Amino acid sequence: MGEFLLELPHSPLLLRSLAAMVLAAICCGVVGCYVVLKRDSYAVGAVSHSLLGGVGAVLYLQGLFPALESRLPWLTPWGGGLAAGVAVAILITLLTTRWHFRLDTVLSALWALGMAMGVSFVNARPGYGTELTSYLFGSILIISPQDLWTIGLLDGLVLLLALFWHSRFVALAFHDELLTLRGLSRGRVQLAFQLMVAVTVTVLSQLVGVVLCMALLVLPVAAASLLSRRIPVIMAVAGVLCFLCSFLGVGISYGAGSGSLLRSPGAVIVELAGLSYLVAWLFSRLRAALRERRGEPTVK
Amino acid sequence: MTTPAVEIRNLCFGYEEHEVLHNINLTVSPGDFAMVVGPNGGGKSTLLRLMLGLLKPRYGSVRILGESPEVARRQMAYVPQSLEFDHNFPISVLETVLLGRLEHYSFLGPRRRDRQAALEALEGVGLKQEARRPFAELSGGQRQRVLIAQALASHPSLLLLDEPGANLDAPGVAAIYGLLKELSQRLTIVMVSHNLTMVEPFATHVVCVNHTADMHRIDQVSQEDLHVGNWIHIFHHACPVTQDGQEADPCAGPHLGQEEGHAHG
Repeated sequence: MGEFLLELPHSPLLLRSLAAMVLAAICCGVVGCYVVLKRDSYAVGAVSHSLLGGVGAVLYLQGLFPALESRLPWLTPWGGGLAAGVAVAILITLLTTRWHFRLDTVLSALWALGMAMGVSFVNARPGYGTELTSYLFGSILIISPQDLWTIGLLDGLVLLLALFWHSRFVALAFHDELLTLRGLSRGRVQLAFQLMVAVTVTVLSQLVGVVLCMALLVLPVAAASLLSRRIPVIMAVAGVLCFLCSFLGVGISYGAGSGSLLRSPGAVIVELAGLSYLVAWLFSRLRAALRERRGEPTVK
Repeated sequence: MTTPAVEIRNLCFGYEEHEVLHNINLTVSPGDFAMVVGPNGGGKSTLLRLMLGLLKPRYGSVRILGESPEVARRQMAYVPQSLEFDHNFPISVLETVLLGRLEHYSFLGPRRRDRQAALEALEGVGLKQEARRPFAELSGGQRQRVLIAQALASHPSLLLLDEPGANLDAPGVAAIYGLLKELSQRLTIVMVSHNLTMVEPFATHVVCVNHTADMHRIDQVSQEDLHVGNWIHIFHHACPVTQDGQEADPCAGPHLGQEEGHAHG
């Protein structure tokens, strides 16, 4: 941790990671809150794992045509991931709202198919060996300036959407029929929500990887919702928790030597998020017990 | 002639093979308070959902204030049963009511006039002082009143309620029905309910629904049947469709053939 703090001010690489953490935390608090309220974390898992299909496709193409990397610099593996995420978001919305497929069947299928395609593509890639690990578990310490710009842009889009349609997303989670009854298009709000999830998952996956980003989207919000009953407060607390977990996780893993359990930043971040949930739960129990002793009404 | 608040003509509806509602004809005039009664599974809630346009009739038509339900949607409001909600959802009473005016705001949330309307609606149901409390902390009866306030916040001219008294204790039911009595002075109300006795003094019509539907003015229904809640009995007294079986059947083949014949001819 100490090593990380000492090097942080002098290292552009670490400063970029820090900026990425702040941006990711904002997305995480806002979108994570909608996801948890809507009880839709399984959709996050499906979208995030299906990103691998897109990532793999771009890696495969770049292996086939080495000139592609310099010709089309914007066609990055994560760009492919984002495209796959957006496609899956649209597919989920269409299949479940238009054609009435069962939601969990659709999600399971897309989850596994996306991953399978990613594996197929990467293994078929000509040239050097597989490098799927950094996509599975993230590469928070290797954020290029271009990555940072992309993350910032995506973050801005998500925030703008939330500012415009916050109440509609809340309605979607609370009582989705209400949207139809007020003469609004439920399908459109649903699609916007899924797209927002796809974008957020892409941002978070760059930091902690497609496998672990579900935890980072759900755990801080779950912890925050034990502490407050107001949605804006939950979003803010979850964002702060997400940032703290990322910052501490990177700091702890930075100094860890080989053979240490704490070497992988993505994993440490998620473990800290789990710990924060446990602490929040203990705190909320303690607070309830104190209130009871003082004879105040307890919240169910 | 005034436009009926609800006008249903020759409506049939079913899920796949199973027909739920058959040959429904119904007119609710502005200012009416129609109680929808009938046995469980008889199609009461289905009828309400058809009026809301959440379900589409197989045959026949539904007109709300002279328009299709989709077009008239913002002029009506629906009060669902409070049991349907996640009772730990982190939302305040005022925020819940504001969702009833969802179509009026987007960027940065509700405007001042939306808050004004929501607070007035809350005052109407006697819960203005609870505006800032979490929805989850309220009692069942209070929650149901908040949902009524949510419906009222959009200033509807037609109010549809699905068993607002379900799972409430006697004082809770009394509070809600007192409120409905007040509302019936200025709104058209269609309400599904099991409890006839509480509403009978101010309902204007009773709609008996059990696969078919029949509407009666409240003074034409036997007081005894009303008080015992004996809707099967009410049915048999005044349901020509089921008694003589001679009514035209719009859902059967001949009628359809005629319609097509017209179209082609």
